Amino acid sequence: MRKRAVGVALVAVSAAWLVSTTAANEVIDDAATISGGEFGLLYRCGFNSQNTVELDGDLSDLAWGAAPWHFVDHKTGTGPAPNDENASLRFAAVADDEWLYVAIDVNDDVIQNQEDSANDVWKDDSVEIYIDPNDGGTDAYENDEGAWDTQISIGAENFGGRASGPILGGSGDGANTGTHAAVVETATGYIVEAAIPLESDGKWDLTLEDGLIIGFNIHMNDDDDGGERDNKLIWSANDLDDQSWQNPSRFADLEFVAAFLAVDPAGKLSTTWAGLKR
Amino acid sequence: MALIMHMMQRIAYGATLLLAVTSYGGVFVDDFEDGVANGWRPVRGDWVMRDGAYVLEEADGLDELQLAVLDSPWLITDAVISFTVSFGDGAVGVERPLVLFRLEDDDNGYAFRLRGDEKSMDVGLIEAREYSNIRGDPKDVIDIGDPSSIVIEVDGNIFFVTYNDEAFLRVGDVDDHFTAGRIGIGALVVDAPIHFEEIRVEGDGVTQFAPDLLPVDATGRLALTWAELKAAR
Repeated sequence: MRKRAVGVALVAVSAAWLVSTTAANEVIDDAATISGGEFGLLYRCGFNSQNTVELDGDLSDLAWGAAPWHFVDHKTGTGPAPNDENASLRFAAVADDEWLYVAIDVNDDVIQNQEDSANDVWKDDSVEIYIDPNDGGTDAYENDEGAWDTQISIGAENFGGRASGPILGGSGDGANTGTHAAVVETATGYIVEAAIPLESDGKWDLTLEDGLIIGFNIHMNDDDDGGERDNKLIWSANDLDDQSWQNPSRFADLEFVAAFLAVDPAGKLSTTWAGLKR
Repeated sequence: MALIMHMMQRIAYGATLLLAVTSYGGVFVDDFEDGVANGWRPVRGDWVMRDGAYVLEEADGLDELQLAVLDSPWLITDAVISFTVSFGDGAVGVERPLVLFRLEDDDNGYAFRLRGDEKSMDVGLIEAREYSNIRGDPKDVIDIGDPSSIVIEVDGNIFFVTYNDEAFLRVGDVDDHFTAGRIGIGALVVDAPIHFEEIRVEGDGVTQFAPDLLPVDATGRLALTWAELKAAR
């Protein structure tokens, strides 16, 4: 009986340990075509003319299945949350000839999207995408063409809105970057599927090539009860004080990698497995 | 069988990690119940012992920064600092209690600041006695009518703050201003008496050094807390 009790205890401890390790920050690229980079420092983004995704809030596009994802847990940011269900996210990025697509799959157990809008949407449930097109990493936002730093804020206020005309905000004129976004509610939170133009009039004109690096960051604002923001999660390990909205030196990096991602992940894995077996 | 082996490996790894952490973690606790401030050196402010608390009664001098420094033989690098703070009658929340850490001297180090009336808290720098905020956030749960139990995990250049068992703030100093130093308690505004109770420090090299302080089993309960916090990060 005693052995059995010890065994049960060991299994319970082991299970708790295993569970606790699944919720930590991580780069998820086991099923990806390319390696995912380094959490908080580098995201590796596959680009190819056929990596196009449909902006509908549905992440079943083949490109998303073959892209690496980074998971940001509830503790990582200046305003940590009680648990991953309350606030956490995973994101991925891919690019074709015209757009940098960013998918952010948010866990959020209570949605607040009625109080604040556009530039004030950081007080409600929202995400922020940061771009430094020349990877200048300056201490303040630049506004010269080709070096235009921007924060693109996308709120849950866009539920049901048109992907081609979302309500946007953000410093560095983020609302006028030509970004499109579909935002849909899910059973565990919401999904933002955004497309940032590679050419934004007067701001930047990116010609993608293998190894090109831009400054990049992802934030999440969580409001559970109206009023002020309750939690703030941040991907970039350089942004320890939530200053990305005015300081691009806090961004991490996104590296473009020539890679065709619009493949069926199931087919790719089968081929790999078959190859290994041989 | 493979799953069991995997679990056993995990357990072995966890046990090794626990042993490694507890081997080096030490503990300092002062609950002030004996009415003696042994080890604490008032630098500025009117400090008294009362009702099991070290109380900053009122400010003195023209300097804004009031503080008492723990003259420990050890310095903290990474550590877990926990304490409870409450306020005297008549407090409306304008008091600005501080817990200072990695103090290089009496005028320079990091500080945690509670802003009761604004329902907010932040972590910042003390440089030449002046406080500058690194980062803070408001949260509705702050209520100065009840004692506030606060835990600050100091891990490299990242500081993780828990308020009444709820994760509240994670702030980092990208410039790594201070790497090691003493701890202190104090305030920037003392409108009503500020009561500091049950101060505990857990970290490498930390000891219960003053003769009147409580004996602590460094390999027992408190060290386990340190290990758990480290493992959870």
